[in-house]
Amino acid sequence: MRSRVLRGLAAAAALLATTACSTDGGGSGSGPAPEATGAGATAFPVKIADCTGHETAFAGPAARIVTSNGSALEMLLQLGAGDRVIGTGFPPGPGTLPPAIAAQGAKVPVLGETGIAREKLLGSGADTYVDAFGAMDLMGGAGDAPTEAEFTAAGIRHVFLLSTACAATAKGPRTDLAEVEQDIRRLGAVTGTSPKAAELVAAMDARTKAVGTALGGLPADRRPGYFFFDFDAGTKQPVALCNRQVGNAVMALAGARNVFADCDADFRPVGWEDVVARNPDWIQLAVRDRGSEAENTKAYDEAERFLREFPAIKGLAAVQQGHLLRIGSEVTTIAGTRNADTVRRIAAALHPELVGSGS
Amino acid sequence: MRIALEDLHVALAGRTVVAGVHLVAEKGEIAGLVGPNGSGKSSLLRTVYRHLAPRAGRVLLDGRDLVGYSPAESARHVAALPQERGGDFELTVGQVVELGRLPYQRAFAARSAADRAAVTAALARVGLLEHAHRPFAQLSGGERQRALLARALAQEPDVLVLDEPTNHLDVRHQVELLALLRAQGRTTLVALHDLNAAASVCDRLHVLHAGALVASGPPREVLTPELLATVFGVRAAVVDHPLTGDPLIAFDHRGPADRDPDPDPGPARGAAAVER
Amino acid sequence: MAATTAPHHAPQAGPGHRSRRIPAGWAAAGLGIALVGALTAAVSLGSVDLPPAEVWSVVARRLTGRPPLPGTRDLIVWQLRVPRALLAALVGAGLGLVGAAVQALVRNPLADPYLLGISSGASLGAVAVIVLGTTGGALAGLGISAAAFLGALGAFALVWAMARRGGGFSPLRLVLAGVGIGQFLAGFTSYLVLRAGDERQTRGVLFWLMGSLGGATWSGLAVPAAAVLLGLVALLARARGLNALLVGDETAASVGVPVARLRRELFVVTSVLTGVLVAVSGAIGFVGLMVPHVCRLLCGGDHRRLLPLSALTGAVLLVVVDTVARTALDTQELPIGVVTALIGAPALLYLLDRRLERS
Repeated sequence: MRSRVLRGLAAAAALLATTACSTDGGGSGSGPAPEATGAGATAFPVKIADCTGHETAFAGPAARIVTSNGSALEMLLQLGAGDRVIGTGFPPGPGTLPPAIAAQGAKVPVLGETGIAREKLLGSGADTYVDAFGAMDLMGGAGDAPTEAEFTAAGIRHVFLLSTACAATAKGPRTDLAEVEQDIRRLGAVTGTSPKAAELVAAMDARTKAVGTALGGLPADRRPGYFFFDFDAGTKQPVALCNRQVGNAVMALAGARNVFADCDADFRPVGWEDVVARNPDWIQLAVRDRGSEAENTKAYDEAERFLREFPAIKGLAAVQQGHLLRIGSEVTTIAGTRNADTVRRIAAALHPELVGSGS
Repeated sequence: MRIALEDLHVALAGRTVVAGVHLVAEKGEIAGLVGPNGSGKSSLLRTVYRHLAPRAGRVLLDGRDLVGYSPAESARHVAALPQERGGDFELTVGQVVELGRLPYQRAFAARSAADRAAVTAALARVGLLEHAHRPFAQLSGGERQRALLARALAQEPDVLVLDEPTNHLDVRHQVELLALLRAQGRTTLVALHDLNAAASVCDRLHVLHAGALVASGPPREVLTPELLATVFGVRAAVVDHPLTGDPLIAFDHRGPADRDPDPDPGPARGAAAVER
Repeated sequence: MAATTAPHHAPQAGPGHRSRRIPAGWAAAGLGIALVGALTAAVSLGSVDLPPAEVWSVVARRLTGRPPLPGTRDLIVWQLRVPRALLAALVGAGLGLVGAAVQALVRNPLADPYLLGISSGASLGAVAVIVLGTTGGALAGLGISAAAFLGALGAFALVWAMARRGGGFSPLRLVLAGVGIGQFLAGFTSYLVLRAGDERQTRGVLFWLMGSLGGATWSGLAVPAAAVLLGLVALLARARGLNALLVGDETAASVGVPVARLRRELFVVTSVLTGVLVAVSGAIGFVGLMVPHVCRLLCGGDHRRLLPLSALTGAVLLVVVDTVARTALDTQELPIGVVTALIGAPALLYLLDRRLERS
C-alpha cells in the first residue's frame, strides 16, 4: 500500500535526521540513545548532540530549565516538566498555549519579552537552557547570546531545538514532523520524561498517520495548491512560507501542495505577482493568536476582507470559491504537538471525501 | 520719490537698535548713512526694504506709510542691495537679475516684454549684458556685486537702498560701483563704512551712533574732526581732496582719539576701531 | 525708467542655458520619453515571466474596454503591475518635488524630504500599528497608511511648534527642530521594532521602513495622484519666490516675497506631501536628495524648470528602480530603499565629482 511506503519513507527520514543530528549514536554505551522511545523512565547519563555535532551530556534530569521561547516552553509543559522551567524568553502570548497547560505556562517567570539578556540568562541559576534559535540566527533579538564557554562556566547545558534552530542549515525540504517529534523525545530524555514524550509522539504519529492512510498517498496532481497567508507580516509585501519551515511539512502531510515549495528558506518576502501566478486553490488565513476568540475572529475577518478587497487577489479562484481556511499561524509554523492537529484540520478541509472532519 | 523716516524705532530680539531716527532723502538725492559698527545702520536699512518691521515710527514714501503697501507693491518702489552676497546656487546671471521683476509678475505668468526689457537694460547698465547666461556662482566678487545691483535696478525702483555695497571689493571695483550709483540719479539710501567714499558720493550724510542719529547734513558740514573723534573715536583732519575738491579725511593711524568715555588710548590698539 | 538701453537682445536676458546646460524643453521631452519607456519595461517585467505580447494584449484589452482575459494574467498585469508602475511614478515624482522644495526651504542642497522629521512620524505610526496592532488596543483596526499619515501630522505639529518658538521658521531652526524631533520619534520606532514579537513581524516592519510599493492598487492611486498634482501646482505658484530664497532672505524680502509666510506655506505643502508619500510607500530614501541635485546640475536651479523636471526625473528613476527591485533576485523582492541607495549614492557621487572637476 502506498501509505505504508510513505510511512516507511517518513521513518527513514526520521532516522536520517536522527543520525545526522545526534551523532552520539550509542557512543556513550551505557545510556540509551534519546530516540529509543521504549517504555520505562529515561536512564542517565544521556548525551545529545546539536546539528553541528556538538554534544551535551546529562548525568541526571534537568532540574532548572530556561527556555528561549514559547515553543520550547510548550513542549516542556506538555511533557509534564513545566514545574522545572524557571524562566522563558519570548513568552507565549495570551491564548497561545493549549488550554490544558495555559494556566501553568502563565506562571513561568518571563526573563525577557524578546531574547533573554546575556547576564540574566547566565545568572538565572538554570542548569539547562533550551534554545530554539540557531547560533547564527540573531533575528530573534538574542543579539547578545552567551558563548558556549560562558554557558559551561555558568553550569548551564545548552540544548537546541533541532526543528527550529537547524532549519536554516537543513539540506532539503521539510516534508514530515520527524524533527519536531525528535525534539520532544530529546526534551523527554533530558528531563527524564521519556515515557510521556513517547506518548506525545505516538499521539502525533497516530494523527498524522491516520490522515496519511486516509489520503492514501495522494499523487501530486491531486494535491491542491496551498498558500499560507501570513497576515501579520504585512499585506504590502507577502511573506512566503518556504520548504524549510515546519509549516511546509504540515501542508505536505495534509495532502496540500505548498505553492512556494520551490523556495529554499523558512520564510521569504515575495511579490503579490508571485502569489497570483501560483494561483493557489486554498489560502490559509494565518493570523497570530490575539488572545481571545472574539479578537481572533476579528483578525480572521480582517485578513479575509483584505483578500476579498485587494483587486489582484480577489479575482483568484481560491477567494472567489471561498477556499479560505481560518487556522492560526502558531499551530502551523511553531514546532509542537499541535502541528499534528493542524495537519488533520487542513486535510479535512481540502479532502473532505477522504478525511472525515470528526476526530 | 522722496523717502522719509519718522521717529523710527527698531528692535532685534527685544533690544532696541535704532531709536527715534528722523531722516529724509529728497527725490534724486543720495543719502549716506555712516556710523561705527553696531550703530544700527543695517537695521535701519532693513526696515526700509521691509526685511524688518519697525517697532515704532514710520517709513514714508512720498508721504504714504510703507506699511500700507503690500510687499510686492513696496518692492516696486524700493529696491535693495542687502549685505548678503548669495552663495553657491545654480542660477544664471540673467535669472538672478530677473528676480528683480518678481514684484511685477504673477504666479504662473510668463515673462512680459517689459520684464525682458528691464532685465536687459539693468544688465547693460552694469556692463554684464554679455554674461547673462553665465552661472552666477562663477562670477568674480566685483561681477557678483554688479549683478546683484542689476537685480535691484531691474526692479525699476524709485528708491535704492544699499547696505555696504563696496564691502569686499577691490578699490577699482569700489570706484566703478559708486560711479554707477551716482549716474543713476535715483533717490538712494546707502550705508558706507568708507567715510571718504561717503564724502565724495553722497549729497547728504546721516551719522548714526548707538542707534541714534547724531548729525545730518552735507558731508563737509557733518564730517568734522570733533565728530570723528566722538563718534568714531579716531583722530583725523579734514582737508580738500587735491583732485576732486571733496572733503578728504586724513586719519591718524597711529592712535585713537582721546575721548572722555574711553580714556585708554593704548598705541597697540592702533587703527582697529576704524578698519572694522 | 531704467530701460534706457533699447532691448535689442531681449531673449538673452532670459534664463540661460549655455554649453553645459541642457535646455529645459529638451530635457522634459527626453524625460517624457524615458518615462514611457520605463513604464513599458515595468509592466513587461516581473518575477513571473510573461511574454511581452501577452502583457500588452492584456493592457490593450483593458484600454479598449473589451472584457478582460480570464485567468491570472489579467490580474498580474492589470491589477498588480500597471498600478504599481504608476504608483512608483507618482511617488518618485512626489519625492523629487518635495526634495527640490525642501532644499530651497532650508537653502541647503543636501536636504531631503525626511530632514524635517515628517517621515519619522509616519514610520512611527505605521510601525506602531504593525507591532502593537496585533495585541489589540486603540491602534488595532487602523490601517497602516492611515496610521502613517496621522504620525506624519503629529510630527508636523511638533516640528511646527518647535520651529515657531524662535519666531521665524529660519532654515537653521527648521532643520534643528526637524532633525531633533525626527531622531526622537525614530528612537520610539526602534523601541517598537525591538519589541516586535518575532522574526517575521520584524521583517515586515523593516520592509516597511525601507519602503515598498507592493500595496499598489488602482483605487489607491487617487490620493497620491491628487497630492502630487496639488503639490506641483502649489510649489510652481511659488517658484519665483523659491528662486529668491536661494539668494537670501533679505534679497527675497526686498523683491516683495513675504519670506516668513512663504516658508510656512512651503513647510505645510512639503509636510503634507511627504506624509502622503510615506503613508503609501514607506520612507524611500535618496530619491528626494538626489533627483533635484541631478536636475540642478543638468538644467540649472530655476525652480520654474527645476520643479517639473525633478518630478519627471523622480518618476522615471523610481519606476526603473522598482522594476529592478522586483526582478533582480529570482525568488525574492528587494526593498526599494536598498536599491535606491545602491544606485543613487554612486550616481550622486559621480555627478558631484564631475562638478568639482569642472569648477
